[in-house]
Amino acid sequence: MARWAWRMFRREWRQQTLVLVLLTVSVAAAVFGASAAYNVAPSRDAEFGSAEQRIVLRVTAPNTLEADLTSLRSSFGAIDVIGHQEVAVPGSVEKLDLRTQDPRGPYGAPMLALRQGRFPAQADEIALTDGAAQSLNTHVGASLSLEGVDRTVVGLVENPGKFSDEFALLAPSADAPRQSVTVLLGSGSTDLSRVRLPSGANFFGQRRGADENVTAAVLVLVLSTLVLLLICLVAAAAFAVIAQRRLRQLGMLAAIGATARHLRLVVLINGVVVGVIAAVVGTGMALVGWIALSPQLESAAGHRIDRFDVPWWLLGAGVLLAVATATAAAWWPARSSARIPVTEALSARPPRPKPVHRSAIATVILLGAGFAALTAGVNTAKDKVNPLLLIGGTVAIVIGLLFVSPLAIRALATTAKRLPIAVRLALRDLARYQARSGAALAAISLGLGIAAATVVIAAAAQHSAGEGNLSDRQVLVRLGNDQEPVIPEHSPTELQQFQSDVDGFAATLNGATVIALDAAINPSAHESRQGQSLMAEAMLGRRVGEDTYRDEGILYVATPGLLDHLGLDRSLVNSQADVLTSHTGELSLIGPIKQGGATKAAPRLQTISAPKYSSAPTSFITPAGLTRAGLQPARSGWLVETTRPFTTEQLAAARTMAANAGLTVESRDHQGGLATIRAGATAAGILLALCILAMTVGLIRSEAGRDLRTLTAAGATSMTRRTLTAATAGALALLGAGLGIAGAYIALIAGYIHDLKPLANVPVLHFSITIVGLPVLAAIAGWLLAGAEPPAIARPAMD
Amino acid sequence: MSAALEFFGVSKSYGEGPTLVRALCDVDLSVQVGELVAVMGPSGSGKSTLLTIAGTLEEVSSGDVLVDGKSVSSMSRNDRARLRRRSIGYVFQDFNLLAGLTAAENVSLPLELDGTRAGAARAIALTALEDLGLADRAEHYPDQLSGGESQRVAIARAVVGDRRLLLADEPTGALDSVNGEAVMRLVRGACKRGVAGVVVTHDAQLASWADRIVFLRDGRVIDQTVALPGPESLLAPGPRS
Repeated sequence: MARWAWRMFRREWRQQTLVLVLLTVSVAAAVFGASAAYNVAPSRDAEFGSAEQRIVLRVTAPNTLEADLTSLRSSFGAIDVIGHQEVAVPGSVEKLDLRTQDPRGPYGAPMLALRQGRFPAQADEIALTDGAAQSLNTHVGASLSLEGVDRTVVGLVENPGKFSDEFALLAPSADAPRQSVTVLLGSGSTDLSRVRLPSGANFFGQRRGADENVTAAVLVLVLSTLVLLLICLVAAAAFAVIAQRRLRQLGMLAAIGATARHLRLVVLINGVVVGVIAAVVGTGMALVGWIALSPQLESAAGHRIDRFDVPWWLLGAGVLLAVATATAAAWWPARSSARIPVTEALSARPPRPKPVHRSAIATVILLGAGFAALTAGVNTAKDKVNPLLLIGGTVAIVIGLLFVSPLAIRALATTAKRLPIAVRLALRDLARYQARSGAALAAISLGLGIAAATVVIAAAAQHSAGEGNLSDRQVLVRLGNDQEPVIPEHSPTELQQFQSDVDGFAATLNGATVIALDAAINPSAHESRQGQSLMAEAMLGRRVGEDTYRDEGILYVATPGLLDHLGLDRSLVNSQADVLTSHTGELSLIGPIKQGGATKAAPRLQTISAPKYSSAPTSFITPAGLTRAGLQPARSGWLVETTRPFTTEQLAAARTMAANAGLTVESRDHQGGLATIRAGATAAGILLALCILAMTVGLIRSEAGRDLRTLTAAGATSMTRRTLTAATAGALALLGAGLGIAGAYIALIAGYIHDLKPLANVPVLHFSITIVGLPVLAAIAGWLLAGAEPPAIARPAMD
Repeated sequence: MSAALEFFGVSKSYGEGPTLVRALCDVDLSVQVGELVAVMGPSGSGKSTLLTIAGTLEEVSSGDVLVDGKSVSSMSRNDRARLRRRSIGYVFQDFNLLAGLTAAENVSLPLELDGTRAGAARAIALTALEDLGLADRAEHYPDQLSGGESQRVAIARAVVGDRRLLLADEPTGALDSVNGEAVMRLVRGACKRGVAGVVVTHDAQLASWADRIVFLRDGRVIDQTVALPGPESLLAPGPRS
């Protein structure tokens, strides 16, 4: 039997190409995804090197530090000390970590790698990360002055575990001042919580936790399992068609004495062969792709990737899963074909398709349960997620979609009566073969649902300030910096000078607008630091926990000029409102931050539509609000806005102006990531749907192949045949798009039920492309690919 | 009488080299309007090939076929499809009704494909079904019909509209003798109304319904004969010529 099944596969492998391709691509995606997740997940090496524990110690008294380190040495044995000093990058809000570290330290070596030149060896030498070199506009061999000390740049270095870790490296022998030290420790026998330093200083201790890469890879594999389950449904339909094609041969086998087990074995072995080939080819493709592409992923991952560090055990699990999926997909057709009476099998008459009996009540219960689970398990307003309820709710909605698919197909078929004959026949065939079309529709709906959910979440994130820090046409000039909400106190004369400097810079730009920004400060909360008096800015916070608030940005004073610039109608401002904000949720005023935690007051809020950038003004306190909260306005900076995106030269000029004036400048720091995500998700969803359609429409139409012969004999032209295929593809795509988007919204409404406002931003363009574009594309593809006249019209093709 | 179907030296081959199969060799045949011709012969003699060529479903390797006096070989693919919609009715052994369409929709299929409005096509189909005693089954789907009913619907579809040529490939092969005879009576009736009929059958009893029997062997017409008076002749008012 096995030999015969193998020979049949070799003879008919072309008819199984689509199943093979789909499974192979899924295995490749799973293996590549698991490898990527395993390697892209951040490694603890970036912070711990090879250490098991670390201590961050703030250096308040340098003379006691050595005693503290000696004490740690006696408790833990070898230690590795990394010194930190935060220095300002001239003319920028950025700070740079001036780091003292031994590249050959017992634990810290994995945290340092040389990219160019050499490590600093003398006190007057320095090495920089490439980001730091770019910020400081310097290069290897140049001289660099930081905090009044001149050094020679001798190399480019990096933290291979964290590219975003920008720093300047000094030789261990350099006698540089240190604000804090990180002490890397072995496991030792002493519990960190029992460590008492001779100086009595408090410290922050941390044990190296479990790496997240295994968890991430397992998550990818779990997701792949879900996808493979859907592919299993589609593959089962393909194997059913193959079994039907072999019906006469199976009948002959049964006639000469083959048992039901023998007959099942023939189809099952076909499934196993398909699974093994897909697993081997898919894994091979993924590994070659991973080895070739992993260097390109390093910048996205933010750390170096060892291309040969692949979770082999997980890949083995993926391969087994693929074989199991194909075998499981072949099981049902094997069982069905073995049960067909011998005489019917010999006449090659397939059994009448059975309608799918799935209760509408079960569908409603599943969708309702999924909605309830997500509502209870996810609170986006408070950033709380219960993983069990999240997974359970999502699975219930996915199964609900699977159940609702045949109902939707039947509903669509009932509308067919008055449609042209070919379309009518296509829709009725979908309903007739709903076991196949339902599975295909569920797979398409899930693919498009995931894409739709991604698009909606990206749109919601845009609503909630995820679009970036500033527009590319904006520059924020600050008196303080973006690290903490404090403003240095300046005299009116100094402020006048700053204003003049900013105006001078704006004058060099074409049609720039300068808007003065006043923050609300607490007049009784001043702090003196290094001789500079600092005023704490009030902020708006959103409650995310019992006594935990997430800052939603600085509260700017709602001056008429600012409101006008933002296009806010002053006449619509409620005179009773304390705060105008685009944020939602349970909001409070928080600050000053340096005085023992947040002081909270519940302001009267008026919701407005304001820019969605995280650093741009989004919340405004009214004069009435200022009075009620006991706050005062204080100049915090200027927003410079032009009609065109800032050029690199203009941004450099802004930084120079700021550096000369003692100000800091913030400009857009990343470009349109969310737009890319939305477009990518839509394209990926459509591509996936088209792949599933390509396969399932072919299957459904091949099942109705006898109809095609009859149609041709009745005088149907290729136009009719093309219309049949186009209508089948278009209808499945339309239903899939509708169900996918509906399913995504059911899940998302449940997740955002506590604050639905982010969902108000409906991505109309992307949904239009999905609901209109995909069916049209599918119909056009179906039209173009169909139309060939059946080769043997009067006599059905026999094996 | 004019010829509805004419074969002139028709040959049809499949494959090439050592796998070459000559399905038909130099066949000459003429079927007159109103005449019913039965084609008999052993398996592989070329009966079905002759029928598919007559139905313009396959092209000849050599020779020419005329349907209603028009040469099929000079027609485009779309012209042949139009000919099938308007002039040729095809009845298969296993009915080949479209499972997604009701009996009435199956019958109106060639008319709708030819551009007749659905309502008008339906009215004509209902009349055809009524003539065959199937008016009460018009809204049933094929899987709700018996074998005999299905074949009667298939015949209704083959003769609906102004058809000139009815081709039937073992139309009674899947039916019992009672239903088989009923089907042949319908075919005979259609021919009496002016349709030329060609029936492929193995059954001599059913072939006796035909005006003429053509015997095929190895793709060649080896004999043609006038049929013996069939069962229907017993009911005929006068002697048959």
